[in-house]
Amino acid sequence: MKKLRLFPHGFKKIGWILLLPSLVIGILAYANTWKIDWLEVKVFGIVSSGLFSSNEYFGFTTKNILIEILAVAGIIGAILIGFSKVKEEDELSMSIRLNALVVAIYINYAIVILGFLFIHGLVFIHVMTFSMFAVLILFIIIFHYQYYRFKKSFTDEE
Amino acid sequence: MKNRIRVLRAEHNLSQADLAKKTQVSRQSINAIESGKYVPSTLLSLKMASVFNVEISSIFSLEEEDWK
Repeated sequence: MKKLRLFPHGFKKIGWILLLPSLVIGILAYANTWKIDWLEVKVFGIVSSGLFSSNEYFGFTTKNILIEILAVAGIIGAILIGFSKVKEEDELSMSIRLNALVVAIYINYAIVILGFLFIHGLVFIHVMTFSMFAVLILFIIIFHYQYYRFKKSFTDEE
Repeated sequence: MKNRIRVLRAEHNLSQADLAKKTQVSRQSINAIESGKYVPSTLLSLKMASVFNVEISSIFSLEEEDWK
């Protein structure tokens, strides 16, 4: 079985630099529908749809790309944080990482199921948006919590 | 699963850090394996056996609970 590929340890810092501002500004921008004028640009879309028009395929559309920039930066940042090697990466840290990923998936999709059952209509899009990012954020939190708890629980050798 | 890693380390005068370095893992891993909180991979077990110059079965042994 091939070894799972992880980013070098140094990429973790880059991940935090990308994720933290993206997360904070992204949540504020999403909640308040912020737009930045000079980010109103023409973009290529494989599929684009407007509120009152039908889908267009492989065409150009004009939109504000603030959310897109923050989302991509945030996702890349989260992936770099979660999947960069810890300082002393070995099979134990990998085992903790995979366990954290499983727990994060369970929690995230439990929330999504609750969303499907109890949140209806257009507002449901917020559930989908949440679940896109929550699985990575949950994974990062759970992994780091489990890893550092593991580290702390071992006393120094006698 | 039981293990005799602490005994073998004492026999070979190796600290956890020494064993970790020789088997290319973190000290936390050696600590976790010794205290029974983590089951090492076959590869790591073989490396330990090589360092101690013993068979794997001299390091690790199964317990009743492992069969449940």
